[in-house]
Amino acid sequence: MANGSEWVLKREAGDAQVWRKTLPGMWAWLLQRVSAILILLFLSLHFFLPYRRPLQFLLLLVVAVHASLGIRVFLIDLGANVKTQKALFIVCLLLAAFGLFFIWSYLPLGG
Amino acid sequence: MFTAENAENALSACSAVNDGWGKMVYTFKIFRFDPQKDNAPYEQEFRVDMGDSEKTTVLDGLFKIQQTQDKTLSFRYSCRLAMCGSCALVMNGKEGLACKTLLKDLGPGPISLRPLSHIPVIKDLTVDLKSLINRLKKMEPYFVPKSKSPEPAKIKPTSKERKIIGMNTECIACGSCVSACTMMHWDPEYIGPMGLNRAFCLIADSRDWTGKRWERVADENGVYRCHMEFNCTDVCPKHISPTRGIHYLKRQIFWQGMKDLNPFRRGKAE
Repeated sequence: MANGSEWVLKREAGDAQVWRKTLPGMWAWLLQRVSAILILLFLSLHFFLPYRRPLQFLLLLVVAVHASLGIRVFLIDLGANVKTQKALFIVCLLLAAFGLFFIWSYLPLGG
Repeated sequence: MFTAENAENALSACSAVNDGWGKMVYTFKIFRFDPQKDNAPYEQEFRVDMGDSEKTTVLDGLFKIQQTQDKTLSFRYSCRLAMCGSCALVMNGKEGLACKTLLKDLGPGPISLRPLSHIPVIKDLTVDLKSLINRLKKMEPYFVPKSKSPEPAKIKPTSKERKIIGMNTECIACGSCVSACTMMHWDPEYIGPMGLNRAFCLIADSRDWTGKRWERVADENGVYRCHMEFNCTDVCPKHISPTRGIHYLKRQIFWQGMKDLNPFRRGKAE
């Protein structure tokens, strides 16, 4: 081994190929993590800038995505067939879109 | 303007080129590194005429390069029929077996070949499988019978227990899952999908005495490192889902914990 130490190739985030071959399950995981961070950001902003329509929409969007992907995790944790994970990802995103549309259209948010 | 240089660039941008005589010329970009000589890894390009066959595999391409262009190219293989798991590589960013992957399925661009990630590189595409085996050893990957009965165990293929284990016993230990798992990047001590899949097969088997395997599965380098990204499931050449096994183990640990909380069962011998 080089200089007496082992040389290990790693999947670096900066490597273009890692992103090219990022698979649906991984996107679901990444999307849920990123949405969690965005919830923290938008929620903090919401406290200081309440009743701003664009901010409310963004907060609702990330909450809908995070919650619907959480349902997918719950189902797989509770024993749902792992072969359905890709379909569940799509269904959960559609669920998020439907939830967002319903709440935004029918609930009075900031007038 | 059409120049020889333009034609050369066009050829290298495209992997499979039919030269008009029925021959297919493929471009390979292969990871090269000899820890004894090189300071850093580099990528070497090879252009290989693979004839007119539709059924040539990545392993065939590697043989051709070694025979005709560079005898020093190092790679591992054995059975050539997707049974031994020796030839696992990262092909165009995705893990798989070189003997099973057809060149024509790798798309139009140059074919990138790299060794498995998260496993020490010996030379070029050859990795040191010792680290894989050591991880597997932590799981005590062998069957230890619960009873000393000389009678053969009777487990029907249609039984619930056999169905739960399913195809997960078909693992050929190629290491593709370990390479694809991003958690191996963050925690090199993580047992990984291969070891946990083996533990699942044994723990789900009612004849097996789990021993210390149970504690290791539940510790900080065990099942809870799995974040359910399904990378291992997506790349497994035998179409096994280690994630399914890992989640079965998580549920078993949960129910075991629930049983221990039950005051009527506390202190009761199993």
